[in-house]
Amino acid sequence: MDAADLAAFTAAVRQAAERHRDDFDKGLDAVGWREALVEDAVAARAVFALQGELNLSSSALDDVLLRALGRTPSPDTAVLIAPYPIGTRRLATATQIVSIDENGVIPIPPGAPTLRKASGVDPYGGWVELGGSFEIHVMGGCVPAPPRAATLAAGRLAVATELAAAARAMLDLARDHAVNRVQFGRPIAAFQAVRHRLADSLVAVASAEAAVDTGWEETSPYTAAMAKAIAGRSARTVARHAQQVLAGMGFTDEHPFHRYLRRVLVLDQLLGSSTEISTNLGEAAIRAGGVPAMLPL
Amino acid sequence: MDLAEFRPALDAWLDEHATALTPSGHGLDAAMAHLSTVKRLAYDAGWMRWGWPERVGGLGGSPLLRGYLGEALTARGFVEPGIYSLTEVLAPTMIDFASPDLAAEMVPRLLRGDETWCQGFSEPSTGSNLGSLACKAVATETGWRVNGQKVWTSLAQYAQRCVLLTRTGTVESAHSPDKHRHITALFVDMDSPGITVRPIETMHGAPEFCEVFFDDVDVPAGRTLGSEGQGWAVAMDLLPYERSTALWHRGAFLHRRLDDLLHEAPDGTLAAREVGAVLEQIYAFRARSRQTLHRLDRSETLGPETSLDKVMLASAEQSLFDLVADGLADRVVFGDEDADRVWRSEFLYSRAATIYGGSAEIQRNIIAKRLLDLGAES
Repeated sequence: MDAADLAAFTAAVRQAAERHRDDFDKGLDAVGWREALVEDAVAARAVFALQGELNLSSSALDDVLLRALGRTPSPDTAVLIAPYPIGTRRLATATQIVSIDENGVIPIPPGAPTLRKASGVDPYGGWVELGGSFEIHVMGGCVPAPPRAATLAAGRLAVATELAAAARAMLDLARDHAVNRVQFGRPIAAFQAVRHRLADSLVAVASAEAAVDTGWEETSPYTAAMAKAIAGRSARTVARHAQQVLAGMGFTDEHPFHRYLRRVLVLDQLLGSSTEISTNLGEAAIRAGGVPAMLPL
Repeated sequence: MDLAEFRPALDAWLDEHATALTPSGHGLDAAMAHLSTVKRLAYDAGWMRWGWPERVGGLGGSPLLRGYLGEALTARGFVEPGIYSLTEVLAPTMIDFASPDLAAEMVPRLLRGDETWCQGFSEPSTGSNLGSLACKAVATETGWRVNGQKVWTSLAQYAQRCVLLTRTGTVESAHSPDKHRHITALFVDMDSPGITVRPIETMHGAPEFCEVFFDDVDVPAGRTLGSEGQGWAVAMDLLPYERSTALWHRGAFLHRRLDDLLHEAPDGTLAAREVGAVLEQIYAFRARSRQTLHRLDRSETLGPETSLDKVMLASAEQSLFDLVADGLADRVVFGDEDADRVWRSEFLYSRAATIYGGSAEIQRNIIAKRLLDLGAES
């Protein structure tokens, strides 16, 4: 896709999202998301940025992981998203389940695993948990198994893109509240304590966006891990500041903030949390007695 | 010459001349002398001229070339980024605001390492509130007569020239709503009669900041940068350079010192998660700063958004040296070797990273007002 194609696709996805707010998968079907993804991985950038901005959920992550595994994305094939036996809502209806750890297939049936809605902290996300005991049939020679690292990288970059966009959306919610909420005869945005929280949030957003941009420009397991860790931590930092600025309003069910917070908490855990990735990066650097090569200019 | 050509050619040259480029000796005098040597060698070989316009002795080409030169020199430990990068801050100002003849005469001296320049901005009563500066310049028949004081002027004791901000309005104009309109920038010879420089002893042990006193100092009219009253524009023009190429160089320094720390820290002194977090901070800064440099390369105007780069770098620097204080605790606290003193000095200097060049609080004020459009502060 060239820049013009990507812009057109992005605009189409946005329109579809507005039309199918409650079922973004339907909207993605309408714009030919899977075909676009097969053609060019960068299609995911538009979709996941929009999911983050508008707090949407879909099964697009399954498709990204399937593509990276060398399989054909299909609404009938769901993916278990490491490290949990968790999947998107597609897991409830798929006729085939794939595990990214082994690039293997979990047969249903026989020995049909049990499925349950994984409400947890994010009951709006449509997450589904695979229960019971299940076997993974590794496909061996049938499907070429690309290195696990490349699959993880594709998934991490997609999730990082959503986290960065969600971080910006939470900052926007807090900023709008701060300039409109009047106390002591002035908007609370006039108080330096509030301003500096929002400024720190923008620093976190800028960090996440820079790391995500770099991940898309030079995709590798390293840049994707960095993007995921930085975006995950930044999103949680912004959530903390935004929650405080939104105060009582942000604590209500009615205000959209909590939906972003819930989804961010889940996304940060998927495919390696910010804490886990930081620890792994640190362990590797300590073991090597040095740091990886610098990002080139 | 583009970056893809420049990079391997420069790398090869640096490898070849590593012995001459490696600093020996310790202390600020030695560092300044070595900086001149490095700049002269790099200028004569052409490297120091790439990325600067031909009309000031450069060879043209993208500012990315300057970014890479400073990065490569810093990453190899050939120069200290703080003293090296002043060129990045002051030369663009001269190119943008000095008369063409003056720029053509002076800028090559700075690039070649023949001269050191300093930046006379802060004053005892004017730190964060730069717009209220009071150092006064009064018009004379031949130019300006300057009286006043500057402080925190880096390297003034070594400098032959100073980019000086003065008040050319009334004394009261420093406190008026349009205080910025009465500031004029001058390019002053530091050997002019009436200038006294007094280095300030600091906690990290290198007296790189000075007090500078101006007592009836005459400055010719031809040394006005821009026009009368345009000094604030000069200052604003300079800050984005300070927060692009110069910060990029410092990021390379942080990367090198993290590498050194991992190499030198005894087993069991570093927590993996903290190392990972610092690595991420430095990486995020570089990812951001790289975008900023590429915007500069596309001739986009840099503005208040570079405050984000500045906050990211200052935070990364302090996180790194907090890690140093843990991983090399014995050496930072009691160590007596030269290398220990360097770690200690750098740790202490890192405490100022959120103070100099616009404090962390001022950066956040700028971000809040200019980038988040939060309106006036109460």
